[in-house]
Amino acid sequence: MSRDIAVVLDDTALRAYLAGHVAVGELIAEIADEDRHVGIPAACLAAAYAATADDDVGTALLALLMTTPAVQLLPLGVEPGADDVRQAGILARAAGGDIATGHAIRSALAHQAHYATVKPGPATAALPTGWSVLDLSEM
Amino acid sequence: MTAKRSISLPDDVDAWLNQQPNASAAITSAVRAQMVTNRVNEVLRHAGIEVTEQGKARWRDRLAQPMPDDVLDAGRRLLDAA
Repeated sequence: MSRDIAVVLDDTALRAYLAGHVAVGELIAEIADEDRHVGIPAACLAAAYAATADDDVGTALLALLMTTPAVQLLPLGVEPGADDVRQAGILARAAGGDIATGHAIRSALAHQAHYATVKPGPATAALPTGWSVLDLSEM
Repeated sequence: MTAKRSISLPDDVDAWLNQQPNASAAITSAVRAQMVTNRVNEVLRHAGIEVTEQGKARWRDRLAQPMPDDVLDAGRRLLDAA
């Protein structure tokens, strides 16, 4: 954890960015102003790419987002014994079985970061009571 | 690599820089922060998002609320158990 990850975006938040949702943009901009970072779990990025089928602009916008200095890709499968993969999978069980959500939950826990989403239900069910889940659909 | 340049500054900025242990480092840090902000805004505009100060301020207030220690402890236990 060499960098300060303030917020983890799940795949629904990435899709909101692709849809031009102002709240997710303002969240990213604020974190950049604070000289902190937005973490994007690799599984969420893959899921967002999958959702941009036949959408070349969406694919390009995701690639562009990843070039932003305030954004950091959070890899999966880099820990000894693949502990992070196991944790993502197990945490996904409580979140409806979605691997991308499991990786986002695992990332939020590991970095003690806020969890940003437009679909808070699965993460809220899996994270400890009181964990900060930012509902982008409310802003 | 570094470069030398002569610049003009408002008095208040000059006074602040005089108080810094390393004026070059202070200027570099401020300019780099502005470069990041500009790059982020440029990327977001490509996605059709125009950021407002009011919108950022809402998140600033929300992000400033720390999670309680007992919640963070519960998070550590959950991760350790997974």
